[in-house]
Amino acid sequence: MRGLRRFAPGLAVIATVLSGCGGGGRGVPMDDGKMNMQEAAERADFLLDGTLQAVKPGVAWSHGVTTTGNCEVTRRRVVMTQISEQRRGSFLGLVDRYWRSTGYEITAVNRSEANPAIYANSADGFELGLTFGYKGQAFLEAATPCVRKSEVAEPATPANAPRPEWPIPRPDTHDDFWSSTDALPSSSRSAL
Amino acid sequence: MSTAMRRIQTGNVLSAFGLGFTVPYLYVYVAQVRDLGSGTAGVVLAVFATAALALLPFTGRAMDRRGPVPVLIAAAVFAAAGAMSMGLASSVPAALASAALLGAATAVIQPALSTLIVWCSTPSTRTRAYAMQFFLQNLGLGIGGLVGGQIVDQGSPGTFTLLFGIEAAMFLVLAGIAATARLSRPAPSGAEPAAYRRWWEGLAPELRDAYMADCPELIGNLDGIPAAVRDRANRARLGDLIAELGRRDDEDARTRLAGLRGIEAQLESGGHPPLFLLGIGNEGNGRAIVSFGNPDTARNVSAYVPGLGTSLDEDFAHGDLKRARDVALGAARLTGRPVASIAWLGYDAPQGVGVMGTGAAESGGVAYNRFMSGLVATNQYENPHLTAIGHSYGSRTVGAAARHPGGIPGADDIVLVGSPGVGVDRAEDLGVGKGHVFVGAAENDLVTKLPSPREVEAGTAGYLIAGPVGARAAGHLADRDDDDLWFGRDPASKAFGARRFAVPDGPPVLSDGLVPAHSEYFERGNGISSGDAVALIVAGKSDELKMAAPR
Repeated sequence: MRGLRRFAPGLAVIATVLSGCGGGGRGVPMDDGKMNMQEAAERADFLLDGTLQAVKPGVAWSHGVTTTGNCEVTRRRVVMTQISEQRRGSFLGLVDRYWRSTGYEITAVNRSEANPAIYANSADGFELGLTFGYKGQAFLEAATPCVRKSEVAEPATPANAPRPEWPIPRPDTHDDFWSSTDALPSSSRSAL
Repeated sequence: MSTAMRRIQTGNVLSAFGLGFTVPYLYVYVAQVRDLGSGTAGVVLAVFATAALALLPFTGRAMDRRGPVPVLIAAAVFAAAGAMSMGLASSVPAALASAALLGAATAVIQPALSTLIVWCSTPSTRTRAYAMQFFLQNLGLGIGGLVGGQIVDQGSPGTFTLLFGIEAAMFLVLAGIAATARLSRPAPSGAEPAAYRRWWEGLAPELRDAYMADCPELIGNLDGIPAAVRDRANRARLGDLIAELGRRDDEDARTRLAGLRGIEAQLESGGHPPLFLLGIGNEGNGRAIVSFGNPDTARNVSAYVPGLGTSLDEDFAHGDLKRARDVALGAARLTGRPVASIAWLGYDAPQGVGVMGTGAAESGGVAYNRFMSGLVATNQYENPHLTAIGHSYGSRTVGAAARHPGGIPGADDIVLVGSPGVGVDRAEDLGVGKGHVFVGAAENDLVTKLPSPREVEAGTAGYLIAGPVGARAAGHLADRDDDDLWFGRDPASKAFGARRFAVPDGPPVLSDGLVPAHSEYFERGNGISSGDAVALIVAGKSDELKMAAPR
């Protein structure tokens, strides 16, 4: 704030610059147009595939709704395995460790017991998120950076537990580990 | 032009033509052709005008009670009778009586037609409709006069009788056209949205269909009409709007067209959650109100006001709609109850920092409140959870709305992102309690760091006097606590008292386009985390909002 005040007389210049500032998705594509929205979506799918593969034991999952803007795409995955409250921390910890080991930067966490979440950025500008929603259901999301506009196809990777994308399918798959309500040994800790 | 409007304007032409046909010749007819003398002719004209004056005050009341159509039909029938009797009048009493009847009836036709114009138009189309009415009236008068002049022959009363006979026929045709207009139940004018909801519920199905067919621009944009109905009316109208713009060939039309086509594509491809088009229009920078999810059947509804630089264009159709859809999806993950997320472009957002005053926010705030009031009226639940979201200048609009007595109708939570100030200095002044005002701001977002006008003035004066040191000193004097922005206190400051949700820093300014962090709240970098923060609030789970930097 103080720095800006120093330049108060130059505000006219800033105002001229800012008048090009828009409100909705008006980012300038990065990457000198090497990547388009379809390619970015495929990369997002790749990041999500990797994340789900890192979860052991594996979980059942289905594709969520894809949303596209002017230059960016958001891909979603819905976990169909019932994850108990007692296993929530392990799930978070697993994904957190995988993301860090892959070199993503953890950017934020939501320190809620009912709806915990972690968010990470990849070096090439993709954002990943793991959230726990209604009744402890796990959701994954990947958002692309702003790239060249193109059509975006549905994800190529087949879901291992395909469900209709809407209304949001609630978890219907039991897993001996993830759905267990037994307390874990204290050596397992959550990322939060 | 809608069917009803075409009928109305046809009615205009006919009544004007009929008048033009006869009124210029009235004096000559009475004085010489019927040989009643110039004195009588003068009195006839006076009676013609006075009868109109006497009856007009009652016209409004009659239309309020019965609607303009019955009044129009009655007036047209009486005018026909008056014209015919004038054509046959050969005595002074007959001439005077006919003049009274004709004068009063033709005068009542005018306000009835104008009322129909008001019913079947919105503020944007109304001016054009009135202009058309005026044009057609004068055209009718002129042509009527010319044609009448060809027919009459001073020596032959029969030609005048023919003239009045044709005029009477015109009025009967007008009555016939009016009878085919089915809008006989008056819509309350200038009423609250709840009144419009009751009015709509009270209409018979055939009348509802008539309104949908004849006045889609009215029904589609009227706060208080159920969402599914507005959606149907606006979808029907979208094609017309696109065709209208396609006929123009200027830059603005092309931009608008791209926006409308973008919305049309999403309507056609379906997608989830389902899209409801609650408003569409060409006035100003364009109007579009798009809901993901049905706001009438949802327990949780959010309405987001976009900001600086927004207009009805392709960026809006894809960028702002993606934001609204993302919030709907995010909130739907968090609750078992239905949600709806609305992008509300119901005002003219300023297009540049240089033109950022408070006028747009004030008028936008009024429109937004009316819209929210409509949501409350049509939502099926007694007390749905409503969240008002303002982005950038939109937050100033939300602030303006919240300052009206009673606050934003139905709003339980207010979210402000990228806010340059909201016009109040304390969160509790926004009408929802300070615990229900949430603010997100990224460090790199320059817009939230615009100095207040006072600071700028003081700083500039200081600079001119004493260089950078003077500027700093003067600016500091103008904002001692360092928390004033362009529109008042920074809502992310502690003194404002709102609940701040931390978002990771956006990319540095000018590193990737102009001020990318400003529009980054729902996009890359802070996109998902801040979008999820908003989703928690919208889903009524703000207690679980505990976003922080990782350890």
